Amino acid sequence: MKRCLSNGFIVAYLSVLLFGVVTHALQYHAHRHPLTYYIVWDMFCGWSAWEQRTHIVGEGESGTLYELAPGPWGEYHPYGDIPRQHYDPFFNHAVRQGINVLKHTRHEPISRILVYEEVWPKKCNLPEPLRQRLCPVPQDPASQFQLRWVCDGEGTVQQRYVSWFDIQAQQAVSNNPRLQREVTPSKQQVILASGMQGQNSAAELRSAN
Amino acid sequence: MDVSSITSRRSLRVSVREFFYQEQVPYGPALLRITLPLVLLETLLPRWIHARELFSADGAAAPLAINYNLPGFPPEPSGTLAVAMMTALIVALMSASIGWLTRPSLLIACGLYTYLTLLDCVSTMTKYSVISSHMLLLLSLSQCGSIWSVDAWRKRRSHSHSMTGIPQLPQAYPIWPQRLIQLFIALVYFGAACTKMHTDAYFTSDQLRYWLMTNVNNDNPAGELLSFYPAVVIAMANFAIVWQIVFVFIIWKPVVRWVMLAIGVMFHASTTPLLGLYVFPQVMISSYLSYVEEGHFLRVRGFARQFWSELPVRLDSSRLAATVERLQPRFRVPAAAASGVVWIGILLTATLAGVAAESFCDPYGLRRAEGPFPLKQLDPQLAERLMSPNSPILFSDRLLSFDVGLDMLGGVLLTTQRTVHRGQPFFVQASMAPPHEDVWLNCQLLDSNRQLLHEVGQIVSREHLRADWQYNIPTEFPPGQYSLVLQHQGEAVAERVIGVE
Repeated sequence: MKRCLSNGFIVAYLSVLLFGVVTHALQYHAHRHPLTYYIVWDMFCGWSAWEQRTHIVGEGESGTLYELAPGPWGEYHPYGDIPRQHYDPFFNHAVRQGINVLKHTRHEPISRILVYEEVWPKKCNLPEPLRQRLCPVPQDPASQFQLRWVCDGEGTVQQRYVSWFDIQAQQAVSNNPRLQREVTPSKQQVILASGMQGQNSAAELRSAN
Repeated sequence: MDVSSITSRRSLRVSVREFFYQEQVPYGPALLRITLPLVLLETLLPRWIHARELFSADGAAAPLAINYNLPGFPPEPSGTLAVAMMTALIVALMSASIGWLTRPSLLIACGLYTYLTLLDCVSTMTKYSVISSHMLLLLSLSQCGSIWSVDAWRKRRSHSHSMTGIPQLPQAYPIWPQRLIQLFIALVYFGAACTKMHTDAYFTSDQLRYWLMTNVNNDNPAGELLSFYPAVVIAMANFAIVWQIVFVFIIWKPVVRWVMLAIGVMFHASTTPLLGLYVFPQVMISSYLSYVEEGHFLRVRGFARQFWSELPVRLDSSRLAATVERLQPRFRVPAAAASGVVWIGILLTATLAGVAAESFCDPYGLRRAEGPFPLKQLDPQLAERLMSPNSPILFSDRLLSFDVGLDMLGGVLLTTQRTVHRGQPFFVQASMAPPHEDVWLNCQLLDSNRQLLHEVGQIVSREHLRADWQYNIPTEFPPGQYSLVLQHQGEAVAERVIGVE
């Protein structure tokens, strides 16, 4: 009986591991369920040329802007010297962090929660002498900002925008007169209702603020 | 069916049976049981005071399932329950490490660790936490507590009190849980190699170069320096993927095993200075302890004893054993049931004490005399930058490097040069940062008087990241300082001065 159980476990466990490896190798439903994260070994993916940070901002009814992450009770640095909110590359958990800070602080009524993405070239992370060695051009690090989420004070999503990276990739392709003629204007600029995805430009989003 | 096929099938069955059910003293799993919980404690202890914020409904839990559009999995505990679970997890890991009620400790640790990490994919769950969950589960099925543990000590003492007084030799058990850990590690590497095969930028050094420049882990000054040598990065990347693919096939060969593991240790240890990783290499290097089998351990112990006996200054081992015996507590060793009751008592007491301590610490500052913290106003400079339109992205932001070299490897400069000889061919390379549009790049060669000697252009389409030009300065040209200027839309965006001899 004991041998049967251990045989069964060995077969089941190895089958699950192999299932993960095969689905990942064939790229077939490899990310279908959260538990596939336990059997798919997709380390090292998604590293880009641009460093990314997150700013979670609360807009009070008076128009004052507040920092909603990190909380006023102190920063938590999980892996290095940057706070927790910067480790959410898909911005799926940023609003929740802002709501938590609002829940546990004194403040005026908050009308909106805004989540911004900040990016800058990773080469700007290098110390100046090293960066000059890499590419001898005088350069001040210039961040780009992109609004990602707009919520009301309770955290209900009002608008959600695509990432700066998606916009850049889209522009890289669409910067083509022939393609521009073929794409209808209505498809070029889509501002989204909650929970939907599309594309728009950073300038348009700022004008919506 | 011929005799040879029956024989080979039978021998395969025997081999598989022997592979999984050979009986050995679990030295390797015991070493892993001692080490892995200590590594995990290193990450969990600093998170304890933040448990309410990271894992509970009274905080900002970040369940992994949200990324898969599956809210509510797993259910979020209350703040107090999250703190209790975190405290119990820490106690269970300590208890597993010392081998006190090893199996229940490991099962509790595995369950709580997996549950809590699933609730914080932002700052607790990573691939090392997943690997640790697997290993805790497999350790709980092994007999890793049968040696070098409180359980073994208690069993030995109670046996010597009640029976003959002769110490028992360590008992051997079927090796299958250890084999599953070994297979698991090998399949992790194989899966990681599949990821790399799907990532073109891995083989061109681009992905790794940007990772070396990334500032989301700890400081990595050696990595920043290595990013200047893309050819070295390509060589290392290719070596790593070959090593990861062959690992599962050759780790079972006795001679190769130690070479593979030594390379693995070097590979993981180097990620600390290169990538700023601390915990991942510790978890992986600990996992290699599962490859220590009885024969290896006995051989190392034999060498150690021989070395010990050849030392000029020798300690008397019988006196040492007597001293250890004298230092052991003189109380009556509790029975298994009593030991379990004490363990449960400590677990419950520590958990309650943890909950009380966290409540006393008041992590959100709600019970301060002046009341909850006020919200901090956003830095006015940052507010202005957030609210104003972005400045256009400079071309120089999209340019990673502009350099000169004598040879190429894998499409990148093998080395960079500041001096070339007349008549010697050399390469000039501009590397772009993705994403970028299709661009036309001009490369100009100027003499020391800024006279244009040569100009050549090239399209770099959006899916390519590099433009290369090959030059050869004729011997008729005078030696001196020459400049290579990269132009985009008629403007100089980078310049490299080289000495020509």
